[in-house]
Amino acid sequence: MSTLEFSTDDLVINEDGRVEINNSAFAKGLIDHVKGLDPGTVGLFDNCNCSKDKVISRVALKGVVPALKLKLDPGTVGLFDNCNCSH
Amino acid sequence: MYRVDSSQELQVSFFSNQTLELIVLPTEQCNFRCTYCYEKFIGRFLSKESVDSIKMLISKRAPELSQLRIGWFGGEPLLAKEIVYEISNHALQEAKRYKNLLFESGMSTNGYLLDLETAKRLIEYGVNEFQISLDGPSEIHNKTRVKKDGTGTFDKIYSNLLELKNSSLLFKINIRIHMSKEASSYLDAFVASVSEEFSNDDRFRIFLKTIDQLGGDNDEDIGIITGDEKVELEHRLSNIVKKNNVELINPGSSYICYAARPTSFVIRHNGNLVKCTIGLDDEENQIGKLTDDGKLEIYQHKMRPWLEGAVKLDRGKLQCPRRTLSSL
Repeated sequence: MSTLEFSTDDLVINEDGRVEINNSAFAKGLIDHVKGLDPGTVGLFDNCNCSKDKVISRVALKGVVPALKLKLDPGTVGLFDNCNCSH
Repeated sequence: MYRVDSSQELQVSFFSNQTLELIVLPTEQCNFRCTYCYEKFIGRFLSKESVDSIKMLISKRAPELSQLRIGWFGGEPLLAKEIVYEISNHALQEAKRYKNLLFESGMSTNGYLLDLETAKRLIEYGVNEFQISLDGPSEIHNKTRVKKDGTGTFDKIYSNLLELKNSSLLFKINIRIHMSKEASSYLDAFVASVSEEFSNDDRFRIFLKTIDQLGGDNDEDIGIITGDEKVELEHRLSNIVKKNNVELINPGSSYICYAARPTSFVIRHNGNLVKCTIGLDDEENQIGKLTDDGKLEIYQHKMRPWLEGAVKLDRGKLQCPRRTLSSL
């Protein structure tokens, strides 16, 4: 899988539980990548328990660009701990 | 049109500030003493200050959220059902206030206290997904999923399930059937029986799960099923479930753990924040503390290792970040 290059050191979780990305290069690259986003490209994961069809997602890129709205399939969520390691 | 790699889109989704997931342990006490359990049953209940703080956090974030998920865990969360009601109702009211906010909530419960009246009230407050575990037929289950006084629990749990089945309530229940050495010879017949009982009712789903050693006092005594034996048993039981027209939950290799998601937080009964509901006291798991004013005090250096899967889209770390943290 190709990923956007950044590191966990670029991330801060603030007191409200928000993610702040403190890497302007990553932020700009992210914007380039998500322009003209086709929601249909999602589909890597199929363990969704959600009832909502789509989640409008926004990534707040602190101090770099305005908040961005994306349409994303919430295929990454699951309320329960059904991994291979948990009870 | 510029076509976006779906993995990049997925990566972006992890860092969305329009989603917030709280897994709340309103108590770590339990009315059960499952023989394989890893929990220590410490402390009492989430304090009034912590309950108010969680409500403050929800209210503060609600205007910008499109998705708020609250998972109830324990201990047995229904020992603290007034707390569950209070926080859930608060979240529900915020969701009514902000039309873009979808509130979803579920509970991992042993099912013993999930009678019809309790279920009705939980569902009324938006808690409508439940996961309930059975260790096999009563003769097996009652040896391992026992109450504090050592007595069996199967009949009560099963009668609650049947009562819910016979109701018109809208919910989803994952019946998690545990696979162990002790139960293996009973499971074909048991899974067939449960599947038949709940067939053609899409409110019920079945999930097959092995019992694992997770740090409990009796880990050495657990008959774990692994390797080919696990694969064969799971395959055989899955076919029984499917044949009976019951949805089978199969996370498979695509599963992403809540602990790998940056905007997911586990709140313990004492207000401590962890990422994973296993190894609650592990040093690596201590990522912060809920303050009394609706804030999360995050220890960034402790948080970051849990985020590596989301940053690198490392499948192993997304499936189970705990397993891949080197010092655990």
